Amino acid sequence: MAAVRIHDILSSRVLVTRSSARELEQAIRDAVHLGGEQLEIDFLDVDGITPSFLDEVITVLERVLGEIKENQPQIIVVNPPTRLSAKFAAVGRSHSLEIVERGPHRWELIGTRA
Amino acid sequence: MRIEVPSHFRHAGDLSPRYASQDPRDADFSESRLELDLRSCEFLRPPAVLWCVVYPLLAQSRGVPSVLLVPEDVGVCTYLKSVGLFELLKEREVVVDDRGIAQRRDQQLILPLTHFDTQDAVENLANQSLEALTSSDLGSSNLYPLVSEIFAELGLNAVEHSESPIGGFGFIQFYEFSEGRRFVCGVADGGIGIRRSLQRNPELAERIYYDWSAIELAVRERVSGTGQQTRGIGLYGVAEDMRSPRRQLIIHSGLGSLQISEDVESEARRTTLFPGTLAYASIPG
Repeated sequence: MAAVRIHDILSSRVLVTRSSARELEQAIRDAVHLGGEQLEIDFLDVDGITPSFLDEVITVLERVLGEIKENQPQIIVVNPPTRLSAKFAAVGRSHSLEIVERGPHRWELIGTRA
Repeated sequence: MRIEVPSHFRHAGDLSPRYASQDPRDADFSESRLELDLRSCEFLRPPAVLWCVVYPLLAQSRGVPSVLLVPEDVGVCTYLKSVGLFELLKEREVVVDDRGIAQRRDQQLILPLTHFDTQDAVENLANQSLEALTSSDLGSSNLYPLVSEIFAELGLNAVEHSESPIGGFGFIQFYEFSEGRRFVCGVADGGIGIRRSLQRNPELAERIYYDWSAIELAVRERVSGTGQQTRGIGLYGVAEDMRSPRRQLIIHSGLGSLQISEDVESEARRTTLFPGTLAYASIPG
């Protein structure tokens, strides 16, 4: 299982902008190319995110996953800063994804698997 | 031109349309001088403070010299000074005679009135606000991230969509009102407004006739001036966050105003002009 620790790359506690999300692209690409059944996007030590930030993270994920044809990992968000609210579910829908809460510290993005 | 504000000034809708409906964004706004007369004001709500920033700065940007006549009530004057209004206007050459008014450090002021005009600035201010909230120990700490997120999303909207010639302005404050303790967060710009922003989307351009109907549309999921499938969630998300007990969101853009709370989404109404867009969120703390 590969993991991307967001706070190790972006040190802010509140992640707001699309440009911040794009700074994760290389780390996500490296993690995806490591292979594995799951890719964890870990928000430990992040206290808040905006829909714009999450939207851009998913856009980056779509781009990187588009580079590999087979064995795409399941995408898991761990330690999300908040409960899954309407706005984050809406971000998922806009990407034809269902974001499902699997306990208080875990979201699963369904639909990313090829 | 002189605009007199009422003694209880809550928001731009309280102003007489006779003067306040003159739009300082218009190219033909050509007054020789603007005076905002707050001398009789005894009480201001935060949305009114944001109007006091945006209107004179737009006039200044049109080359109209502007003066803010400060309240005679020392308490109101001290509040406006502590929130940062006077300094912010004076830095931009609006005349403010606040002699004799002491600068009070307000422990409940999380983010004083602050200018921003880039997304990075909004992100920095959101983080600065979260730090200030954390060290303030005011209200419920589990709300701190939400307050910062709300500020950030409203600020991003102002930067991304408003085309404001004066940028955006925002503040965060903790209040102890008679009805309870609240975090309040306000953001305003002097830009094109929600209607003109949404009209950039060809699918919406022919369907939006008024500012009030544009606001109603803007709080729906995936309605955006960009027309992109994944955009138009920010303001919808803020509105959804405010549909909880005793929370309140007010959006005032151009001649339209909409209030959202847990069980109230009144029809947006026609009101006196706000020359740009203002959003004000109030969360019980």
